[in-house]
Amino acid sequence: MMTNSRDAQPPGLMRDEPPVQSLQEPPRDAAATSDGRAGQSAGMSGPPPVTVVDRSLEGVTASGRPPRGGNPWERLALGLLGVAIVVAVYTLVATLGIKNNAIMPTPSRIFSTGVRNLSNGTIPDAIWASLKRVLAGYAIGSAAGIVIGTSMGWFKRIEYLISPLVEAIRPIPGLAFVPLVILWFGIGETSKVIVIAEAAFVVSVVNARAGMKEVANTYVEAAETLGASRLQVFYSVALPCAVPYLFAGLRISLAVSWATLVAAELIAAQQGLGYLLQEGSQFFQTDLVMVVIVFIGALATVMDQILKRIQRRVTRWAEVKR
Amino acid sequence: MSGPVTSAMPADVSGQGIAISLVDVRHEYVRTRRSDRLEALGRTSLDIARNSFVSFVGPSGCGKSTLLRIVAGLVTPTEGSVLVEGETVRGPDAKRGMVFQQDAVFPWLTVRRNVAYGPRMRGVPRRERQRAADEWISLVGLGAFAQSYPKELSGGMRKRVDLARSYAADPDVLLMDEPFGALDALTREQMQLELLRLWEERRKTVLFVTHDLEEALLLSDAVVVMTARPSRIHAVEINNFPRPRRPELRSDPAFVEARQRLDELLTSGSGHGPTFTTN
Repeated sequence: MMTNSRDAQPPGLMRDEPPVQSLQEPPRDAAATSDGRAGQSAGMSGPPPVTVVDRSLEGVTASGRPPRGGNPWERLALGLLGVAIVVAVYTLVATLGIKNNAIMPTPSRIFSTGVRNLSNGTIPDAIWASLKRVLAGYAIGSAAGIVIGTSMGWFKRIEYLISPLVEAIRPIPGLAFVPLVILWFGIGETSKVIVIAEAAFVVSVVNARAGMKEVANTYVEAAETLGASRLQVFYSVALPCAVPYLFAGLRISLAVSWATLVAAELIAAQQGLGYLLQEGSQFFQTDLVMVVIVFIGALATVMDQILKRIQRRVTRWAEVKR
Repeated sequence: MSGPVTSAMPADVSGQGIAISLVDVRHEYVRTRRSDRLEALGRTSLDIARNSFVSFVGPSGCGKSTLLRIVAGLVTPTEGSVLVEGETVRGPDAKRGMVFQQDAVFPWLTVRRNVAYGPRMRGVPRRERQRAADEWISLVGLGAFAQSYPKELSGGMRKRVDLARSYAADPDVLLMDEPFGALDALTREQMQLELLRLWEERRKTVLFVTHDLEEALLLSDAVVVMTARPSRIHAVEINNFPRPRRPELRSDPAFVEARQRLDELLTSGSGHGPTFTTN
């Protein structure tokens, strides 16, 4: 077996060497080497010029840099450690310093409050009420944002027509519309859905438009010389090109939708997570407030992860290796 | 060199009539930042015989690519017009296919759907266009990769997809703008032979821009040497090596001599010494 070439050479020297494959492959493929193992990404044009068969080199890229992901266990352990430190400090302050459950409830008390409110249906009901609003507003807002944003990004006249309106509402925080919407639509569900939809719309319209501006000219010209009309180029080239941008917009606008929802519920609601926060705060139930905060975070994370999965599915063509 | 240069390909290049006519074409780019105009292509007239393979060589930055893009309809010339198969060019069209130097294969489509793209835009029924695509895919030797995504292919293989896609759209003329310029030397040679074979099997009018004199000589019936900017036609070299051509042609004394002659033409045409280098 060979010796570990990481030991044989100073690492700095290796880092200066370009990936072996970059001489053979265009830069697109060279990116593959940052994820793959040494010598694995020489493509179909033949065996790589240098193949290092050495177990000790696993996880080392051709450029000598450690892989970007790092050791997943180390990552997990340190991440848990960070959380544990914060919880420990909080517990110390709460039990030894403040000693007042109304202001700083102990972790165990927060936990039991959480369990109680889960089992008696308070939290599930609130989640359900909030989820309906978020999903409705988010779906309406981002769908409209994508349709209008992509059209604006592609068709000059639509851009001219709509961009002053978008630019006018863009800097206004979504919540600034709450009083007006309440005047017009009352304090029912419609109002909250409208406010959330507006917030989601602004984010996704901007991202969708930006995505269309980034469509590589080569693809457009290739499609045109293959006989595609402007409309055909729009849906068969520009839209798929913009998918990464559309998803970026979808994920940001999801976060914005949550933020808007909670704020809107703080202002006017009889149910929902924001309402529960408000209620907990009014009755000095700090433990309930904290439980609700945790659930809001968890729900937003879960939904973002779902979106991420969908994104990965839809953009599988862009992945480097199978 | 001054004044308009008119060159007509001798009819014997293919003996099948004229496919492309450039009539007093001139092009200037407007440089907005300096608010002046840059003449990329001087007044040029040229007839190109049907089903001939014509290469354009010239110093870097001369208007060869501009000329090709004008024929494609991607650039509207400042003056003059282009006739392709009797029709004036007014914008891009499937009749004038183009292969670019950059990788233009759509990464979100499989190889088969890439090759079937042109027919799909034309509204050819699915089954029919897939059959056509599969035929072209196997013609460029990618039969086993019809369902693969471009990411899974090497640069040379993607270029084959690009060629197959252009052919499958069934254009009247094929325009190639340094199609192999981004490939490594070995792959480039393979692709030259691949294109040679493909073209000799399925004749088409091809305009081919390149920096590589050997590539130009190996593939074409005629080589047009352009001058430095503003670019004009400096010379047209008719290239009568018998077909089918084989890679060994490169070492033929007549080929080596023709290459030398081209080199000299380039040097004399570039005006300010030998700025042009080949690999």
